[in-house]
Amino acid sequence: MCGIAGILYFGKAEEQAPVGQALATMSQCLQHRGADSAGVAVFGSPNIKTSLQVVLPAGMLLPEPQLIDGYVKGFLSGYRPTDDGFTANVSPLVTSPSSRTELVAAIEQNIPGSVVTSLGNSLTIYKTVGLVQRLFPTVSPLTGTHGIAHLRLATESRIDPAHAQPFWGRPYADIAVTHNGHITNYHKLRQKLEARDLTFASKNDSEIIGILIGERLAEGRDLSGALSDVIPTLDGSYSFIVATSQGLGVARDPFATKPLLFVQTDELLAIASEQQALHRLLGEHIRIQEIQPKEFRTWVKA
Amino acid sequence: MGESLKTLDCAGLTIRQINSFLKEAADHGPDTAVTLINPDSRHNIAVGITKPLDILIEGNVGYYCTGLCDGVTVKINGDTGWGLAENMMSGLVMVSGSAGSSAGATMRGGRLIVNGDTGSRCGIAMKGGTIVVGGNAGYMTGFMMQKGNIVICGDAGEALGDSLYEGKLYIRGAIRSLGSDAVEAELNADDIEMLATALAEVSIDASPSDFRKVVSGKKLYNFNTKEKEIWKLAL
Repeated sequence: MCGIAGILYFGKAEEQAPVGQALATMSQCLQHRGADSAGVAVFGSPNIKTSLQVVLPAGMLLPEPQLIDGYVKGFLSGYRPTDDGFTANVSPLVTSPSSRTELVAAIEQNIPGSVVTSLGNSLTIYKTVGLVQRLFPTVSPLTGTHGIAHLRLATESRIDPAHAQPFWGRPYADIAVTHNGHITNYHKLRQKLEARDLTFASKNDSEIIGILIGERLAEGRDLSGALSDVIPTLDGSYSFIVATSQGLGVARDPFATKPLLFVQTDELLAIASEQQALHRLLGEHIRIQEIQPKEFRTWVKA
Repeated sequence: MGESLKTLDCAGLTIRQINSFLKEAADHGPDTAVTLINPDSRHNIAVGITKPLDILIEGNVGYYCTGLCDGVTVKINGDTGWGLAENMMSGLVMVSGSAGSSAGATMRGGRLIVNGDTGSRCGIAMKGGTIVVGGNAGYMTGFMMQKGNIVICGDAGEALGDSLYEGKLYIRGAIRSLGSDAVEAELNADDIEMLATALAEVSIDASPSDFRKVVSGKKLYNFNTKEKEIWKLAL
């Protein structure tokens, strides 16, 4: 079934807003919608350096930096181990989508079983197999401006960290998507993208949404324009939230098959699959609205 | 029934415990009344109660509240999620706020009154009874209604009454669009009487003549027996 949530804080003290805590609170309420895997994507204050995250197979140690340097021709630096792999800074020379695709391929082909799970200046993604509470020690203290979360009930494709959401829209920087539903023309869409040399981390249909949107953004469309271009190409059921460095966007399929509710105040925007998550975060006396069938909307963080 | 049994705090209880309490209360006799507090938007509250019982729920509920019930009278002071009063056989369910998608799904009798708005597919596959919506109704309201009445005091979303059988929709506000084979028709004396009764239950100042009626055009589900050859193939 899957559960999704999003949070965006408007206004001044943005970078210190309790994005992690808000996502943890909402995710806990939505846990019953899927216990196979979970994840959170947080946008914090932009770093000067672009970095990427790599998930390694369980038990694999971080390879020697010199070894990785050889694979990636020196385009990575500052390797730091994480709970499930490592992060590294990306050379400022690697900016085009094709050079980023090459970099990702260099890592994934030379470190078997590794998956690059995010890339950007302000985006970090945390994913786990099993219950979302496993992420809470890491995620709850995180502050930032906005973020999204996912609880997965797998209906197809493997259950492992690479197939957990939110999915980074590779290879475009600072874009992630959390999706409830099933994109039924995924294989056709994927074929077209692969013909243009785009690559995928998984065989999961949800992954394609962020890639399609990222492509439009890279061509100069704003988020609203990108959604209006991409949505008509999607077939199937969906409620999804896309997060970029600018803010959040949502969409719901024409039959409203999957739920999507939100609350907007002067301080924040909270989005969730079920009302309990919004009440738990914001109390009983809030005005909950529904995203309408076929509707898409965007909110900027400023 | 003792005072201490009359109000149940849902906090900390499983749904099974809450519904067992309600079933026991219903066993006490037809004049029993109970109150639930702190429902916390949880799913499946008050499901499967098939003896008369008066239930007041203070707060919001999640999906499938009062599903599969027969003869209960339920008042919800709050909003509900999806599938409210699904398959109600008889009784009354009244919501002060708004209901999510598929309110009154496949209900067979009784009255469902939502003072606020309803989400998409309200009254889907209804087989009897009456739904009254004080506010606006969402997308594809009355989809595949077989029988029964839906009264909408506000506006309706797209595809109103799509694929109707003998169900009837009455709408006071604007219709975004009619669904497949849904057509407008004239009100008759029976409609006026039904509307007067239904409107008395909602705190809306409206008169039956404010409403338009939507019924099936009957082109989708009739076939010509002379075209038997086509149907022989299908069967």
